[in-house]
Parts: sequence; structure tokens; C-alpha cells
Amino acid sequence: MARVCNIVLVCEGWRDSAFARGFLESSGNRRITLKTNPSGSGHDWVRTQFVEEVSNLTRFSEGRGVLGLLDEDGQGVSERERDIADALRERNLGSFLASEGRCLLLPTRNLETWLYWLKSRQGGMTISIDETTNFKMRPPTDMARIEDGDCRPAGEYLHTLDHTRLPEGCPSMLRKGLAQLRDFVNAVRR
Amino acid sequence: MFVRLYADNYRCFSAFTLELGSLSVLLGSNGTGKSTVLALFAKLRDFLTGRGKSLDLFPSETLCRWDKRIEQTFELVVKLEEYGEYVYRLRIRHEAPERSLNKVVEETLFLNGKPLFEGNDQEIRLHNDRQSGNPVGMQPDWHVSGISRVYARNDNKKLIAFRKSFENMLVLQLNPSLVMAVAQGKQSVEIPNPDCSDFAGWLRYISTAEAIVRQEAEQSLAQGSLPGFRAFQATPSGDAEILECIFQSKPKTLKFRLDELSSGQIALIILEVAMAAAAEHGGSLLLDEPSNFLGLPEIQPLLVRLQDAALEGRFQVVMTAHHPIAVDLLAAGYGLWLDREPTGPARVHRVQMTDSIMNDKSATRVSDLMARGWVSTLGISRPAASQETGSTAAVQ
Repeated sequence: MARVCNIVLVCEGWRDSAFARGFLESSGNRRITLKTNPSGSGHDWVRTQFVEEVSNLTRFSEGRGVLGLLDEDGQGVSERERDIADALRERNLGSFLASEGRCLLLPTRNLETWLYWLKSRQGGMTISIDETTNFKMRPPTDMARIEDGDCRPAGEYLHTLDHTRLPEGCPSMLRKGLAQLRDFVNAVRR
Repeated sequence: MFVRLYADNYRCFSAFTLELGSLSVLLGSNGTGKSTVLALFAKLRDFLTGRGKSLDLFPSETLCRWDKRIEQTFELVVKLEEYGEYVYRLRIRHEAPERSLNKVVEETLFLNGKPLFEGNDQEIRLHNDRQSGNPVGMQPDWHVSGISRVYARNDNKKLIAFRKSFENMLVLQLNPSLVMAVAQGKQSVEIPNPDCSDFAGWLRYISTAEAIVRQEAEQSLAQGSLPGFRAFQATPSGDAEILECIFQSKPKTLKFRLDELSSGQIALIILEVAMAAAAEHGGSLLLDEPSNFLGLPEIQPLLVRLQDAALEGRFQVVMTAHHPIAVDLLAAGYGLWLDREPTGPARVHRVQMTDSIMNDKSATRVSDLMARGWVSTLGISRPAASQETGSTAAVQ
């Protein structure tokens, strides 16, 4: 029997994809098709591909979910969400809800915020992370730089956390993101 | 990790240098030297581990056809976390090419700039781990690596670690139609042939010496890489053993000889075992066109797993690729483009994403550009001759 892909993962680069796959694979979802931007970044690219894949979801019955991961990059969560919602509306594709298998994760300010917080938790610390600071180039004080090899384990670790009992200091968008991921996993389980 | 290969006067390589990372993807037209790189690694491994002699591994036919010199030079830079940077150098002289006679005239190994092993055709000096004091003398064998003849001792761990990095190198240029299900007699293969025709013997070795590798591979295959697969089973048949694969699709359980499976299934099985072995050893996996024989749904998952393993530091991956899925996923960031004039030496360029590609809103695919030969947009300059004449030889 042919392998059937159920989830399309749209993200900017390998790190984002490794993080998301860490979570999805831990929840038993291994049938993933990956779409990453060859140039490694780009809000426009992720938006275009996310909308395209939502469209595919409505056309092909085998697809169960689309998961997009896009850095907020200081542009504002509402702005980013409105942008994607407008693009979907233009194509008559409705809105995006994780519980309907259309999930968009928007780390503020970028994925590194989440990775550093999760890494600190894994190391037994709980640090407060400023969600407006760009930690891509410089890690938070007293923390070692995030390596490529940290990304997938961070996603796996996130899967072990309870989104209703996240500790103080958890980045707000990570709290929301974990709830979205739980909804998404339930939605694609059908 | 192998970080640099230098080869001079070997097949299509003339003063050729290849820099490698944890993941390196060799791209380019046919006949540009991609598979030759992998085959050369296999030969150097076989030489350094005593599996082959210079006469067999480097016959006179391997000299560059356009070069009148009679010496071949190879250099490898290997970084090991525990000890540092090794530089291995091998020089072979073909004194009577018409009679296929050659000899090793230089074989040296330096670690962090200090000698561990210094050999020529007259003498060998073997240094201990302190890399100081009086070296021990050895008689050279003109056709065999001196390093392969060194016995492991407590005071030469650094040299042995270097040699071990070659024992942990797997080079696969798969040809499933040659893969046999039968392991003869006591055949137990520690390092498989590149075509993996001896896979049954390799799995027998793994099953006894490294059972965890077999378990990991079986688990991964059963978890979805090969639908229906459950386990391997070796069935005695006279002096031999026949390798069978158990498939289950409720309520049926069926056994198939390995050579009864499709080429794609055989390739998937071998790749899975190879990945498990490479991860166990923290070694290097060199794959010639791993997407060959695989069905479309299998290709991206395999490539993503290789990328994960390399970037997460589980093992090094060097692979050649033509398939558009591989090119689009991996060329940017890990691509090395090889090209050459049909009768000239191979050259290598790192694939770069120029501004015109980075800012391309229509998201032109890298594989499309490569298929058209529009590689200048990827930071690759063509040889001057092909630009002037409009020749399509170098970049087709």
C-alpha cells in the first residue's frame, strides 16, 4: 500500500520544520510532507504556500491538515493573522482554525523565543523570555546558543507539556501555540 | 567527520579539492565526478583498513588521461571531536603504468600539525600518542597502507581512532538487482560492498555483533518506512542462510526472500539498516543517488531523515542527487555543484542563493534552474570555454 501523507507542514526553514516535526511525530503523526522555503525565510512565501495548501485540503480528500509556522518578526500577531485571513478570503477558502486542521503558529518574536524557553525548562530552569527581543543572533543572558540539534527535541519536549498548566513565564504565543497544536492533532486524527 | 578531500591526477580530478560539512549534496550533470568522489572515499577506506592494495585500488587506468605525470596524490582532512584535526596524505607512483605497477611513495598522518605516522618507500616512523620522543620504525610494504598494519595499543589510540573513522564509513551505490538473499557458509560482512550485493552477509554480521542496529532498523521499517514490514528472519539452508522478510497485513503473515522484493523495497531496507548503523557508530554515510528506485512518496521522508541526522550530529551525510525533490530540498545550503569539460578536470562550486532567487516571488524552483542549466543564478560560473562557444557540455 502506498504511503499517504496526511499533514503538510509549511515553514521558513529546517529549524522550524524540525521543531514542528518533533511535536507531530511525538503525537504519532509521521506522514508529513514538508514545504520549506529554499531561501530560508520569507513571510510572503509561507503565506502563499499556506493558502495553496489550504486550497489543496479542500480539493483532495487524503489531506487532513496544514500546519504553518511563521515568525511574527515584530510585525504584530493580529497583523500577521489578518494578512493570512485576507489571503484565504480572497480565494473563498474560509478562515483558519487549528480544530479544523488549518493551523498557523506565530511565535513572537520568532521561534528562538520558544526554543530558548523550552530549553531552559528542559534544563530544570524557568526563565522569563522577552517576546519582543530577537534571539536569533544573540541568546538570552546565561544561556548557550541554540544548535540545530536542539530543535526537534524541543518539539518533542513541548509534546510532554500540558497546555492548561504551563508555568508562569511561558511565552504567551507558545501557550496559545500548544493549545493550537493539541487541537490540530485531534483534527487530523479523524 | 571528513571535512576535506584533495585528489590530484586521479580519473577526472586534477588538483581537485572538495570541502565537506555534516551534510553535503553533490550535484551536477552526468560525468562530472560525483560518483567518482564516493568511489574514491570507498577506495581510500579499503586501503586504510587493509581491505585492498594499491595495485588493485589504484591501477594505472585511474591516472588522468590528459596528464603525463605518473604520481597520484590524495589528501584527507578528518576532524574528530576527541582529538582534533587529522591530515592524511597518500602519494602513489606508477613507475610502469603499462604493467600496472605502482607503489606507495608517501603515506603520512598528522594530528593538529604533529606527526603520528610518516612513511615512504624506504622507511616508516610510527609515533605514539604523545607525538614526541623517538618514533618506532617499520618496514614499508609498497602496496599496502602502513596505517592498516598498525596493531591497536594503549599508546596509539589517536592513530587507531583515525583508522576507525574509516571503518565507520559506509559508501552505498545501490544496485538492488545484484543484492542476494543468501549468505554463504560463515560469510559475515563487516563493511558491505558499495552495491550491497553482500547485504545478507552484512545483516548477519550486524545481527551478531551489533544487534541494536538490526533492532533499530526493523523498528523504523515497521513503523512505516516499509508498509507491512515486521521483521527479518534468517533461515538455514544447508551451509548457507537465506534472508527473509516477514510482512504482515492482518490477518495474513507472509515471508519473502529478500531478492523477491521489489528494487524499491530492497533499497529502503538497505538504507534503513545503513542509517541505523551510521547512527550507532556516529560515522559517515556516503550515498550515491539514495532516491533511485524509491517511489515518490518515499523520497522526501528519506531525505528529511538524512538531513535531520546530519544536522543533529548523529552522522555525516555525503550524497549525490539528481532528483528534483532532493535538489529543491537540499541544494540551497548544502549543494556542491560539480562540472567539467568533457576532456578536462572536474571543478566544484558551492551553490549559493543569489538575490535574484532570494527575492523571486514566483518561487522559481532550484531544480528547474538546474534542469535548464541556468546555474549562474545559483552563484555558479561556467568554464570560460563553454560560455564562449555556447557548448552545453559542462552544464546541460
